[in-house]
Amino acid sequence: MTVPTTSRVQRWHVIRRSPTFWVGAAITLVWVLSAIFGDLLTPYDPLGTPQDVLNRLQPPSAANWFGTDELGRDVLSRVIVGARQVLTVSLAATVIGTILGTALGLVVGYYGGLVDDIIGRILDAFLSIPLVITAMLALAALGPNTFGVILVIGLVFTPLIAKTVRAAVLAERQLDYVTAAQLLKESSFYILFVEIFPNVTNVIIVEFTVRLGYAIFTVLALSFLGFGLEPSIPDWGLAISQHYQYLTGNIWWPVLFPALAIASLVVGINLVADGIAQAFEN
Amino acid sequence: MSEAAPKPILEVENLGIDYKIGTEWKTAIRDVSFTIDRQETFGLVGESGCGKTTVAMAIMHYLPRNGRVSSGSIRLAGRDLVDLSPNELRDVRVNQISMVYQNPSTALNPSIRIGAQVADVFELMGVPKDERSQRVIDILAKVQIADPARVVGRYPHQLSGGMLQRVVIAMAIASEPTLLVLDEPTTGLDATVEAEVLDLVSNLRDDIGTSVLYISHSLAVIRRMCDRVGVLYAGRLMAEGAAEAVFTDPRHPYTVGLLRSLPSSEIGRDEATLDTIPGFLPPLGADIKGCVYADRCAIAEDICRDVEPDLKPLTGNRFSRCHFPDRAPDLPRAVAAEPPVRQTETEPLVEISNVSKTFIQDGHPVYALNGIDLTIHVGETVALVGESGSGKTTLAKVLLGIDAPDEGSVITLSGEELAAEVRDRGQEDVGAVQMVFQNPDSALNRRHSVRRIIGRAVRLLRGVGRKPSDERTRDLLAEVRMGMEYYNAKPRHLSGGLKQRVAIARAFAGSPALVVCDEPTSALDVSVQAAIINLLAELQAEENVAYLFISHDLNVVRYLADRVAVMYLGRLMEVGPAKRVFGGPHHPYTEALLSAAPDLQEGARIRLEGEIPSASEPPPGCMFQTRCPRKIGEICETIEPDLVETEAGYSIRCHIPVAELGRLQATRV
Repeated sequence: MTVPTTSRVQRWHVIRRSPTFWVGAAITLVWVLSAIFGDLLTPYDPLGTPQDVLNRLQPPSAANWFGTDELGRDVLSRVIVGARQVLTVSLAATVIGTILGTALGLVVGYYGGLVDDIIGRILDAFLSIPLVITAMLALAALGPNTFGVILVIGLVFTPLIAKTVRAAVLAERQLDYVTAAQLLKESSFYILFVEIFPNVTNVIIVEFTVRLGYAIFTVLALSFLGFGLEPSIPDWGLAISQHYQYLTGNIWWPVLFPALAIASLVVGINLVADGIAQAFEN
Repeated sequence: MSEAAPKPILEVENLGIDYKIGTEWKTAIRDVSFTIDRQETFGLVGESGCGKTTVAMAIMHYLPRNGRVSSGSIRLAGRDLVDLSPNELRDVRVNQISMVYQNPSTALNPSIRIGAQVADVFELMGVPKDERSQRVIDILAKVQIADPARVVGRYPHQLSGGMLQRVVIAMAIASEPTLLVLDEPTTGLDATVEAEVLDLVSNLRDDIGTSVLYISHSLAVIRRMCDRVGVLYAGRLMAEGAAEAVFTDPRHPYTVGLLRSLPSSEIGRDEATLDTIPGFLPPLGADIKGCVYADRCAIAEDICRDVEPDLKPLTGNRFSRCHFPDRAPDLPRAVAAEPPVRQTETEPLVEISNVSKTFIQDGHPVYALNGIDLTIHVGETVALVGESGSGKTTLAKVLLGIDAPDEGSVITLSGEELAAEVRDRGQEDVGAVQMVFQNPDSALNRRHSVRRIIGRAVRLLRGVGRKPSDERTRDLLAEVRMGMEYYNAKPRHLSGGLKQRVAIARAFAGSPALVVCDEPTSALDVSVQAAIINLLAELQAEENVAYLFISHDLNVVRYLADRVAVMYLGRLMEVGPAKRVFGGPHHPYTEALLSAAPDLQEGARIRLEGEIPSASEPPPGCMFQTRCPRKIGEICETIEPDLVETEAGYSIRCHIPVAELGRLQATRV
């Protein structure tokens, strides 16, 4: 059996020459910059002022490129600042899911047998419930708050990531270096985290970027449904849910621009994920 | 095709092949020319990376997308194969050339029944639908599949490796091709199965009158199968000629080096070391002005480094790409012939008594080991031989404490009982019994450096801190003859042989008393194999360590082993000094193993039919009775013979008395 020995340099070489990666990275970077420097870039105060209401639901113009919303706030400013909330929440949720999922996947994959059977079945049962429904149920119980959203999405992702990591660990466990470590009487902890873990990091990195795309989608879907994020903070999902009833009146701009923002961010992250996956999987 | 034309079937002329690596085209094959006549078998032999498979792929038009034929021509029966249209190519592949690959399990579609896959070939050939199933049965019978009607309904995973390779060969010969290309068709098969497949290929070749291009890394297999051979090195044909001449009177230093690297049956490790080839294969596309082999050649002179020699004709219709072909036979040795001197002790080190191991698989017991008694003495090499599935690896795992044996099994180390599992063993016992693995790629953690891999073993097995462990790590590297430049290297920077040295250094970190070597050289090239065997012999002399040496390669066993234990279906069939076991009279199973081994010397053979039975349903009576060519009757089927010590230090498990075996086996020659 041949063991893949792609070096870091070769991997970077593949990424560097991948247009997929660069297009995705450019789109993602725009939103990351918006999230960090949003307050400096917005033409108007995204939270609006009391007088704005006089100016409500104005179509795109030279003054308000993306038009104004139902409270007369500048849609462009709210779209720019809205990146911050969704990016931090989905990043935090994905990190939690990846850490928990990796730990679980390592243990289940390494011990196998009964541990695998029991935890594996529980994970399968968990996975059979649609993701958004699980999250909604949990949030309904927790009450809407940002931290709750992070935790719930993180936990919902845990079994998905655990399954992927488990499969990678199963393959590693067959290799002789694991037997060699056992013959040195290494502890299971050492074998798992020092011997096996570094060899499955590729899989984890790819899984992380893929999940990040899903997390963004889930966060926004939840906020659209009215779960989670605090209403005062500009948020794309919430903006769509607050304005979609106006679509029938041909007032499309408060919905279209946040929707485009969502689409571009998700596509951007997924392109980055594809580029990374190509480099790590060959 | 015309009957009379004595023209060659395949003509390869000045073939050059490049691969695109990054943005550059690099030369993989340069100026390779050879011809194959009608009904002739031509062998291409060489070590990994020499370009054997690339040549075959070019003939088949299967070069990967980053490969191209940069010069020369390939003609099959006069027709140029390099510039074919897709339709012509299809026609050539259906009717004229067939190929058999190394791994039969990946050559067949796992989700389609055997019959349907073979029938596809006939469909392509345009055989009418109602005739196909009969043709499938006929062709499977032709490759000596015992029950073709049953096999057609099977899926690939239900057949053994040997059977699958027969099916693949059946598909390849279905169209009675003009040229049959075989790329390592028996690598990965047991020697007994290999012998059968090789016999089959020679018979079919004579039967359908096809020409064969046979590619292998094994000199012995090539010698046995081929009329003429070409020796490839770094993409160049270094020598070409009649197989007999090339192997018995080599006229290229590379061929001489390869042949000397092979352990032969005459010389043992206490008589001489194996010669090796120093240095490494040049990297792909390296810019070499002179002879590609000059860097590794002991008789190279200035002209060799400046001018690349041509493939020059010599006497006896053979060729050598060497400036000094006449000096090749007198190539000086790369390593001193003087073998390391060993201490001679006969104190028992490890005593294995009544060791059994039963696995439970899907609720049924599988008897992997059954009442094994074996003693390993201080500083000696005991070889374990037998086909896959005979229990060799299970015995090693039990000894190492990876698998716990059944109740009642006892293993002692220097007189004290060894805990069944490694986690219950003390630091000293853990260090005393270590292992070298078959595949050096998988034996080293590819994320850890050499320093870390060996250093960690030193710290654990000797219980020392970082500083003394670094010192010991450096010593160990020196002991396995590796330079300090590899101290911080990662495994991917090392060649297979160097990786195996690191793995050996790790096994020696705690001054072991016994090292289990599980096929430690079978994944390595011939010249690297010789260096590793020499190293193992030297380390044994220096450290007075005992080896339990598991191997399929009987020539290696014969060279290295002091004693041999032959296993079959979890039992020991014969145990004794290597000279006695190999010299005979031997157990019928040992006799079969020996005659299956491809050797550079020809000899009469007996053949084993069928495969090793399943250990979950062992046969009644003697384990070997279902395949034994010397079965004497009912007693073999009903009563299992005991392992009887018939002379001091030699035991055999057979109903036939040793004297009678000797008489039977003497008539063989």
